[in-house]
Amino acid sequence: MNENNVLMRIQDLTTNFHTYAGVVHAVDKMTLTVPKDSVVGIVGESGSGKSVTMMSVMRLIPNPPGRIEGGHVWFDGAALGMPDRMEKDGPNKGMVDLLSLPGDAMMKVRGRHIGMIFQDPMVSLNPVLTIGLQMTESMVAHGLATNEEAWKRAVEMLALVGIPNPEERMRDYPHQYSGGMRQRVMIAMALSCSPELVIADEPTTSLDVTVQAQILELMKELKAKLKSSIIIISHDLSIVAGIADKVVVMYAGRILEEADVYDLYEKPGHPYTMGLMKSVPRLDAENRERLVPIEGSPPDLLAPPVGCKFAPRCKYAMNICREQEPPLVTVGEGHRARCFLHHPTAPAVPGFVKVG
Amino acid sequence: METILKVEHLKKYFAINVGGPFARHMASLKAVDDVSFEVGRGETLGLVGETGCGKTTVGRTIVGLYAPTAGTITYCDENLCALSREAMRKVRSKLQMIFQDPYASLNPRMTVGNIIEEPMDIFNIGTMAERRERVQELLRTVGLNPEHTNRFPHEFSGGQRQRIGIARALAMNPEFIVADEPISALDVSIQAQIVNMLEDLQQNLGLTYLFIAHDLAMVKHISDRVLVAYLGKIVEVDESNDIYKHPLHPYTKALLSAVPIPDPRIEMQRQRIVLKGDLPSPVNPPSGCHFRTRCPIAQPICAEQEPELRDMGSGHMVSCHFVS
Amino acid sequence: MAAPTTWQFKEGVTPDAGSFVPAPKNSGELEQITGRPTTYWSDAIRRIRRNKLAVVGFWIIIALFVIAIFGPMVSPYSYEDQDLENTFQSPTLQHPFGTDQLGRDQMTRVMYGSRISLAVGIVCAALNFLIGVTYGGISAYFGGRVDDIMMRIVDILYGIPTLIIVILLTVLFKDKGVSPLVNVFIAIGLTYWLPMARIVRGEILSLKEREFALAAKTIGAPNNRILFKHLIPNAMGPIIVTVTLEVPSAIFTEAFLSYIGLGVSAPVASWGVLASDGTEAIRSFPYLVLFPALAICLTMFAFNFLGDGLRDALDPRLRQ
Repeated sequence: MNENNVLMRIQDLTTNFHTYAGVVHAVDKMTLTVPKDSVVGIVGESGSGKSVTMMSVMRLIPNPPGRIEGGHVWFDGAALGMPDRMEKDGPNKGMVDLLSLPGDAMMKVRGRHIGMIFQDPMVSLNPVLTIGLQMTESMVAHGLATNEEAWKRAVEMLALVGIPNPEERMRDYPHQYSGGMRQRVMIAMALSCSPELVIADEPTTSLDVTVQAQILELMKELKAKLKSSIIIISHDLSIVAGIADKVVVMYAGRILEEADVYDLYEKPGHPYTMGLMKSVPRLDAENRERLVPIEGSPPDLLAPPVGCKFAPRCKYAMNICREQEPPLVTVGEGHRARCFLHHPTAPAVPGFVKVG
Repeated sequence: METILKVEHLKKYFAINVGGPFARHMASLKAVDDVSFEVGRGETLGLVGETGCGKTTVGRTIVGLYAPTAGTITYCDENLCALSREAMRKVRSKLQMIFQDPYASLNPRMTVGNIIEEPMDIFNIGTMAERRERVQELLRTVGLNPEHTNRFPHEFSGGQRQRIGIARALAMNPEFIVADEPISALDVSIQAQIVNMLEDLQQNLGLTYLFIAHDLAMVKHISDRVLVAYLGKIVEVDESNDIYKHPLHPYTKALLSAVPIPDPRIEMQRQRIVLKGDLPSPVNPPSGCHFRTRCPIAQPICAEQEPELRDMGSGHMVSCHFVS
Repeated sequence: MAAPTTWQFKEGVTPDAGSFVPAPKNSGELEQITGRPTTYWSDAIRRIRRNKLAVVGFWIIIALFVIAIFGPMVSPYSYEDQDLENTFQSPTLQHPFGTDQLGRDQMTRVMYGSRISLAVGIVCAALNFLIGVTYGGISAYFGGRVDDIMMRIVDILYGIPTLIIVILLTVLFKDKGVSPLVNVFIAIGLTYWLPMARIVRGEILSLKEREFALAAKTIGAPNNRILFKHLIPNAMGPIIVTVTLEVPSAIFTEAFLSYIGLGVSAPVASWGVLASDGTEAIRSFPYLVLFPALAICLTMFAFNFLGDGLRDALDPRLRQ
């Protein structure tokens, strides 16, 4: 047992994609801690590295062209049941580095200890197998249950995620389910082995608003009921607002800001986070104000800007931002931001709470 | 306000095969089922609804991509459905469309210059030099570097591509633009750029928009009035601020409460109206009120009688038996 | 209270007063495209260059063309010159491939045979483009009844074996002074555009639902423009792959027909004829069949390697 109540700690994770045009630094020295029994939201646009980070954790990066170049993914060794692989000493005592596990050991981690929910449930379900077969498969494969037990548990899981007549629906094929129902099945499947961590990669992006609401409500309910930690990846700040305990904002393969959910929305510590919030209209806005967009496009990761990756699009960019990349500095309790505006000599910026 | 576009009792059914791979059994998918509305010159009319509500079909029928099954579309006192092919092509240049997916809506084998120039090329407008000049001007209008005319679409980012699509739509000086989910495929930080640009263009060029989207917050922001559609029918119409404050139709209420708000203090406490079940098939819609199968206040009468779109005062229309 | 922050700066850089002032705005940079221009074709060429076999195939085909055009010209012998004193010579410096039963230089005849093979290939490719692409494109674009009728015609033609067509044509044109090569061309013409029509139809069916095709409609583009300017150029990848795989099959068919005596006949030299003649003397003079057979093999391999390479290079799913 490690003392820190940490379930997973990603440390200096670096994943590159080697393409003919050059090396894409998809994830660059990413460090993130996932406490036990918590929900972490990762927010970022396309190309921010949020999905690649999670695929790296699962070691599902297609190679070539992708390669995990360095770093560690420490996972609670007691939970994995791999006492012989645990660190004996140091800050990561009692943790197991997933990146150094042999392939067959990693296979036992996937699904059993880390469940995954994908964006498009249709792609991740096999169209020619019944839902029942697909649901019981991983439980049986991980040796957690016999066929009969697995079947019973699958029915329970389907009922838990709100599928009516689960007993009968077990014999149906994926195409007989609607989009929202398929996503519920995916959630049930991800939870069937009671994993310690569930990674949900844009779980509601391909769904309609009312179905999205159903799924988010379901996830909130499950969060209260189950002990799993959840990492929810989204491009939308409003989706994680209602469910996450901690939110991480990613951009160009690195964390720009990390904070407790209330802190992040009330006193954002990075111009990018502020920009994201101002650039979307709010349904509860009283009158129609002009949106404040973030100018420009996300950077080309083949030739990222020197210095702060956000500087070319940043309203408040200073000379130093163009020269070197700011470090991720602590600006409050559990609140880190990667911005030079927090430096004591930096000018004050309206609406920006400066600490440090 | 002068009416620029009038849609009356529009129906669009698609014939689909429901007999499986070996049998032919045709049925009609009622994508749009008796829809009527008007758009005033210079206004932005929002059309919201979820998958299968027929919003895209309405837009595509207006610009002439689909022939309506029944009903009329009147544009500036001209019945579009009765026009000859040639006449239709001419009118169409005033009625343009912006597409959803900026990755699919530009021909990957054509340069950006050729893409924007094409409408002028088709209608033989101006000399080659004049057209080049206009392409440069259009690129500047949408905030792109005019030197990039010889680049191919894949070299641009999503937001830039969408602006190329807008430039193409503007090439013929249109009056009416159907924007079919123009921002839903874009990154969050880019969406506001495009929305602001659409607002500016409307101001400067006097455009009228039919803004189709599923994002209620964005529709509320950009539209003057909003139509809410469900399963091929319009269930509610109102000024966009009013519809948020006083939604009348149970579906509109559910839709509004489903939209997440980027504020944890509100979001963590929020009591949502969560709709039960799934969208019924548009091939076989429920009898009476289409929404009744998922409606929290449905009564037996909803299955028997179809509610009419009634005016509740000052243009607030709603189709529900239990709203008064 | 939070842990105190330590600011680390890059080595050798000491921030001064000027570091923390707003940087000058450069709005032009935001819309600048950084990458160098790439097109679909330059990308495809780059990818096919990495495929060694495809490159080898490409150069063999080029060599084949050069030999077909110039080979018979520079050769001191003609393909029909008989030299009855030097029949059945083994390969020597004068006759690198030896001579046949009438003393004709086998190398010149093989080189001449490549002309016929390539002519067949070119006719096949041309018909593929002219008939196959247009036919498939029209069928898919207009769809519905048009598609039904056009595709049933293709099905019917598919049902007739090439061999039957050639035999019928041979009977029909017997003693009419028509070169047997024409029979082969007509037969290939009738059958070899069919797979192309089907492939193009499939491509266009999916392409015509894409938004750029709809966009072309909304700007008032007429049908032929949408089909030939927007849809077919986007199906060019599969079209080219199909051509490179159809051509060797047509060449092989000609060789086969000539081999069984239904194609060109002596003294005209086609690889099929040469192989057929050579087979008769295979026990005593195996080189006579060896060289034409090698030529056929090499051509088949070259086209198929190139075709496979093109398929990988032009497949949009493999683009990164």
